[in-house]
This record gives sequence, C-alpha cells and structure tokens, in this order.
Amino acid sequence: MDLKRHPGLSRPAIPEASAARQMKGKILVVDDDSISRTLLTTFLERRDFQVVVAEGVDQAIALLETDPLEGIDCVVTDYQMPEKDGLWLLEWLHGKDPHLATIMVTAQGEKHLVTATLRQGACDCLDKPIDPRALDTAALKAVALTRHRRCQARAQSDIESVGKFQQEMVSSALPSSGLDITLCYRPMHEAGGDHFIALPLGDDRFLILATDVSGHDLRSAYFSAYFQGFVRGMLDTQTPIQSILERFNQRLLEETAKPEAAASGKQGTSVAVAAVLVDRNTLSLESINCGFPAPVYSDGAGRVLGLSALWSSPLGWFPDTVELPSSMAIDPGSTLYLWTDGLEDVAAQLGVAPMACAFDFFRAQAKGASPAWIQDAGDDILVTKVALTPPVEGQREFVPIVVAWYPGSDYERIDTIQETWFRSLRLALPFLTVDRTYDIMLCLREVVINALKHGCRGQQDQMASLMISWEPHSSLVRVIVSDPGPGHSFDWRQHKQRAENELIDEHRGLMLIDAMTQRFETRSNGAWVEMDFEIDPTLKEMAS
Amino acid sequence: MGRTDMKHNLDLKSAVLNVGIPGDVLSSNVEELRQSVFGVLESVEVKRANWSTLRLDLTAAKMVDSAGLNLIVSIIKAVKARGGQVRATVGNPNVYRTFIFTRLDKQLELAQAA
Repeated sequence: MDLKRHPGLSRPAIPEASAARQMKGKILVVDDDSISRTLLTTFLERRDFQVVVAEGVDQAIALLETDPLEGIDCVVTDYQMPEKDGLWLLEWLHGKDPHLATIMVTAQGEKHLVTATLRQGACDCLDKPIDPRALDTAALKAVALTRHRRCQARAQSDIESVGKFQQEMVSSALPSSGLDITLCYRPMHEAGGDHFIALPLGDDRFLILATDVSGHDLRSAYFSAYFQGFVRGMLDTQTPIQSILERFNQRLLEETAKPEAAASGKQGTSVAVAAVLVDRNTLSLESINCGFPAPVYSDGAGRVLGLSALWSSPLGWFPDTVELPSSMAIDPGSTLYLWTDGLEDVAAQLGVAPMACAFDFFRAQAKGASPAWIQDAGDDILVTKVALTPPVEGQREFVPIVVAWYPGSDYERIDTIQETWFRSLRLALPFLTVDRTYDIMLCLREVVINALKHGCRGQQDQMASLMISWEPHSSLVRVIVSDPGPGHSFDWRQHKQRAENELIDEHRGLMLIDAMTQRFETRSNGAWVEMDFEIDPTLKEMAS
Repeated sequence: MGRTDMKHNLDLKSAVLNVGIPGDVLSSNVEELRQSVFGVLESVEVKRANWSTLRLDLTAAKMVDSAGLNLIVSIIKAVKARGGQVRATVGNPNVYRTFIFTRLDKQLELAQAA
C-alpha cells in the first residue's frame, strides 16, 4: 500500500526492530479522532499488527479503492464520524469483500448499534474506552477469520476450476474418438469421481471406459484423472485392458496396506469400471465389468441386453483377478448405454427404472435444461450413450425406457412392479394419455405374469426380461418380454376366437392384447412376445 | 387367504342381489375376491332367497385384468346355472373398454356409471 498517494493518511513511526518481527496481520484503523486513532494504532502495533490509518470513511474508501483489499486482514472502525458513519463503511466493505472481518468501536449509549453492526457482517463490537486485552483478542479473531474465509474462497475457486477442467476433459474426449457419443454429467459438487473416455485404438477399434471413483469430492476427481492417465499409458504399451485393471487393483491394495493409510483410519479408494472394446470391423464387442452398473446394449429395434454376464469386484476391494472379457456380436445401428450408480440411486428414490431417468436426462440436456429430479441426487451422475456403429439409413431408433429382469418368484409382487413401469412411462413419455397408459400397463401385466408364472415356473432362479422402448419417428412404444421356458405350442388366434364366442374362463388376456396393440407377435411358442402400441403423434408434438 | 371387505344386500322386492366390489379386480387379489363373492352366492340366505339378477357394482375398479375377467366369467356361469342374469356397472371407461374388447358385454348386461 502506497501511503504517499494518500496525503491525509498518517502512519505512526514503526521501530526498525518491528519490521523484522513476525506481523500478526494488517489492520486498517478508521477514526476521525486523532487521540483514539493514535491509541488504537499504538496498541495494535505493540501487539505486532501492521497498521494503516484513515481519518474517516471517505479516506478509507479512497485508500481501499486504490489498493486491493486483499492486503488488509481486518478493519477497526469507529461508529460516530462526521459525514459517513461506521455502519455505512461496513456496508460498503461487505459489498466489496464479504470475507474481510471488521470490528466496530462504539461509545457508551450506542449499545443499540450492536445488532445492526453484526448484521452488516462485523466480527466484533467494542466499547469505548477500549480495553487493550479485548482489542487484542478481537483483532486476532478477526484476522484469523478473514484469512480462513479467503482460504476457503480460494479452495472453492480451485475446486470450480478443477470441475470446469474435468467437464472440458470429458467433453473434449468425445469428438476426437470418432464415435457418436451423448454424455450427461452432473457431479454432486463442483468436481467428482465419475469419468468417461472413448479411445480410438486404430483399425476401427475403440475402448470405451466408464469409471466411478469412491467419494464425490476433489480427491475423487484427481484420482479419476490419475486412473485415466494410468490406463492411457498402459494402453500405449499394448497391455491388454484386463491386465491394466489387475495392475491398478494391485496398486490400490498396496496403497491401502501402507501403515500410514491404516493409521489415518480413512477408507481406501475403490474404482468401479466398465471397459468395453468395440470392433467395428468384426461387429463385435468385449466387455469387462468391475463393480460398475451393467451397461445396456440396444440393437436399435427394441431388443436390449445387459452386459453383466461376468462381474468382478470394484478395483481396490479384493486381490481377485479381473474376469476375462465377455464377447458378443453387435448389430448395425446398435447403441450402448452406461451410467454410474448415482443414477440407480436416484431412480430408486423416484421408483422408476434407471433407464427412464437416463432417457429423461438425455432429453432435458438436448433442450439445454436439467431434469427436475437432479437436485435430489445424492451422488455424482454420469450417463452416456454410444452409437456402436455408424447410423443405418432408414433404420428406426428405439430408445429404451425400461430394461429389467425379474425372477419367476416376482409374480407375487406384480402390483409393485407395475407401479415402477407406470412411473417410468410417465417420466419418459409424459404426453401419454390415461387410456393409452392403461392399455400398455394391462398388456404388460398380462404378458409378464405369463412369463413369470409359466415361463419361469415361479422359480427364483429363472429370469424373465422386459424391454420397453420408444421410437420417436413412428411414435411407437415397443414392449418385448421373454422368458427361458419352452413356451406353449398353440394357435393363439384360435384360442382367442373360442374365448370370444364361449363363456370360458381363459384366453381373455390374448383378446385384450390383440385389441389394445397395433402389433402382437410371438416367437419360440410364446416365450418371446413383442407388442407395439402406436401413440397419437400430435400428443408428442404438443408436449414438445 | 382372507376375504375382501365386500358389501352385498338382497333386494327381494326387485329380486336383485347387489354385490359391491371394493376396488380393482386383478391377479393379485382375485382369489380373495373369489372367496368373498362365492361365499355370498353359496350362503344359505342367498341360496334360498328368490332373486334373479346379480347386480355387480364395479365402479370402484380402475383396472381389471384377465384373471379378474375370468372371475367374472365364473360368476356369470354360477348365476346362469341358477337361471339368473348378471348386470355389471363400471365407472372407469378403460374398464368398460376391457369388457367390450373381451366380448363380456355379450354375456352380461353392461352399464357405465355416469
């Protein structure tokens, strides 16, 4: 601070020895009374504070507007001054630097000012005549408070920078990958541990890597970046992804086993990973899953699979070997969906399928908005969809809304399951009419009950699968239900006709489905059922 | 399995047995409803009474699935077996459509409540 530029300002002489002493902080004293000013200054300097002074509010403002406030750790101001009073100054200071702690000095009879003073952000209020010990305590407290607040603000700013950089890193990794990728990312705080990259490996091969580091803070963000770097570096040495993950698992376990880690009492870091190698030449993919929610594969025609056949623990949990990749063929026009467990948590809160939340997130982001439920999320959320092949001309795109697997024993809780379908459809397709929703719910119920009761024989270890998807161009909801049973060889049209004409107590489900769907098709003796429900396209347009 | 809280009364003046179904008629509650309805139909009082029409009040039902429809078929059969007829009143238009789609309107007298 250059005092020569402020002729009204005076600074008491500072003994040479004090310059070498460790200053406790820099304090601006504002008082129109020269005796008070000198007393305050002398006392504070004796207590090893560096002091600058102003004879009134206007001088203080002139000084602070020229020199940055960051140099001042505390302002001690008198209340009663000509022109502008101490409260006015506090208000001005609060607007300029809300982190700067202040002390108001009041005379006898000005007690009523205390509340107003504290409301303006003052740290303390001292009565005249000043008690030197009270001033020392208040000044130390104010300086510490200012420094603490500024430190917090800097840390917050750093976190925001990291978060911004992380968002840029994630976004910039997408166009360069050569894949058509849509990504929605919402860290719980400014930065988080969820990450996604798609790396071209040459020859039309790609590695898709989605990770979720335990925790959702700055440390998780750094750790996530470290893991991504580790993978990239190892890939350059042609190391297979399975070995890379095993090595990283080993490294995490070694870190946790260190005595200092054990002494800190903190839980070790773990990383959930989904790694998918896509080969567009052979139209195949290989996937490895270490504790990540099962990625979902959609063939583009409403058929959906979960890539969860083999599953290892998250890295950092156990010294297990990572399971070998599982392979499958992919269809032209197919899509892969991945999401971190933050989405599953929020879906459970809402009582909907995670895919319905993903659907809603993609739609909201396309409109430059956020889904309504995002504020309730208790974890970082990352959702992405990757077009595994270039688009196929003329092919319709079925976007999944519900992808679920139910054990045969779930027949008992069909009403609860139906509620989940209902809420999922309402979330994803809010424009559906009550009548059409009823049709879909009733037909779904009929088909799923049949799959659970007969296809799975009500057994816990037999699973039926359900896929509900939406084709926006045709305005069509497609439902596919399959079960592992042998089906039932019969001509359903004949059965339906008999039920129409006779008073028999069976086959009315078939009549309902036939009446309520635009297409009803069975395969494998009915162990695979497909139903299409056309939706009035004007409703969709009205909703958008 | 317990019985559903189902209301019924005999209107002997009009020769009508009124049975009120308290809610949805679904696979998950159809067995309870079956016990309740047939418990009424097979009670000594109802069996001996001189009624010819079963008036089934389904106005509280928002959904009826195929298991529920099968129960209604069983009721129609039981009433027809004693020479009677069934009149059903539904409130929800989708439940009404369900009866139409499955041709049950040909087997009973169907009315939609205003």
